[in-house]
Amino acid sequence: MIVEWALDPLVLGAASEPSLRATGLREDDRAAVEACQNGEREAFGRLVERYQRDVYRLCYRYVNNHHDANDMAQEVFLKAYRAIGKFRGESAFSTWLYRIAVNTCLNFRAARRPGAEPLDDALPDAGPGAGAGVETRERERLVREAVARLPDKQRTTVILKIYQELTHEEVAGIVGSSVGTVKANLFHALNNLRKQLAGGALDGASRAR
Amino acid sequence: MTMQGHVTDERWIDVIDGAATAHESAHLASCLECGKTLSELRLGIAAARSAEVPEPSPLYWQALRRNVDERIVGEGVERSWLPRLLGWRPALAGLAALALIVALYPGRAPREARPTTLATLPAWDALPPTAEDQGLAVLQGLGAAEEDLVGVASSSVIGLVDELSEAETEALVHELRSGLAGRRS
Repeated sequence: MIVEWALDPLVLGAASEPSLRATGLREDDRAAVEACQNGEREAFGRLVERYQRDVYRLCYRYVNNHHDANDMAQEVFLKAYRAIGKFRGESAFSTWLYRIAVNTCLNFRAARRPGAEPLDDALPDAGPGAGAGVETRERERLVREAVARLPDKQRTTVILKIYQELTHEEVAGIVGSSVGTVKANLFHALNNLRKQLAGGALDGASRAR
Repeated sequence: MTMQGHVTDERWIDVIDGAATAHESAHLASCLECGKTLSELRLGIAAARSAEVPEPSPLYWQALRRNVDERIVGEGVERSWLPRLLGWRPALAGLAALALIVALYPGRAPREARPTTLATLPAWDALPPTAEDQGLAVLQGLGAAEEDLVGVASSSVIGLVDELSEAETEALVHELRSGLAGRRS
């Protein structure tokens, strides 16, 4: 089953020009991408090393457990490797990669059987000051679950804008919508979070500020 | 702004980002409802940001890279025959076209003899007509001489010639030439 709001990761930067464009592409990314396109598999390892944390964290935000996040992250990099010949550098490599990641995670989420919500596998801290740690972790768990319950568009917007700290324009490029739509989705997402977390994690976040 | 002068939904994110207009800023300073909304939205962002992703083991990142690399290599081995095969597309297309032609072509019919444009030459005989053949008379003369030598073995004739003296040989040649000349005339 393919999620209704799926993105096409290959559209981004899949123009007909044979060489990488200068716009939005970091120089070290450009060198690695060109090497990959020339068949140097080792160069892709440099891109994996550079973006593995971002991709893993993004995937974790969708699946809320390490096991699935690990599977998703590997899948994202495999898809990127297969499609890197079509990457023309019309956006930042990270933007292109995030789009693949979002699509992969949305499809994974859609394929998960109903009722099988992801388990948050963050373990409680048993070290010194464990009491405060448990409270903090419990609050974080509540927030992650609240984010997980958001509709796909709002959830994706929160993940890309708040967690990945992308600009509205970058988020719009990834999800294929206008900046105005991104802002509207973010506003509704924050409102939904506020309602879900009222009296709980919001108070905790207020104290933590 | 709404009819009541409140901040609209579309503007809230810009307001949170610090891009409020002067009018919006003035309204927020005086409107309790909008001030509360702004405060809750900021709390929502703070709460969301406070939920960190649990950091995996430091060894995990190396394992992730290794797994990705191994899957790429594995996949590359499985798919390696396809690009190579596709690289032979022009040759394969040529072979396929050739095979199609051979399979569908009915074969060439035997070529019929073309009518020649050259005139037919008259029959040619290497020998002149009997009445004009001078050589025939020579052969007849030789036949008569052979009758004179009946009973003499050919080896004996050769032996006789060999035994002739030089003068007798010259006389014989002279007689033969004279005889031939007389027969021709």
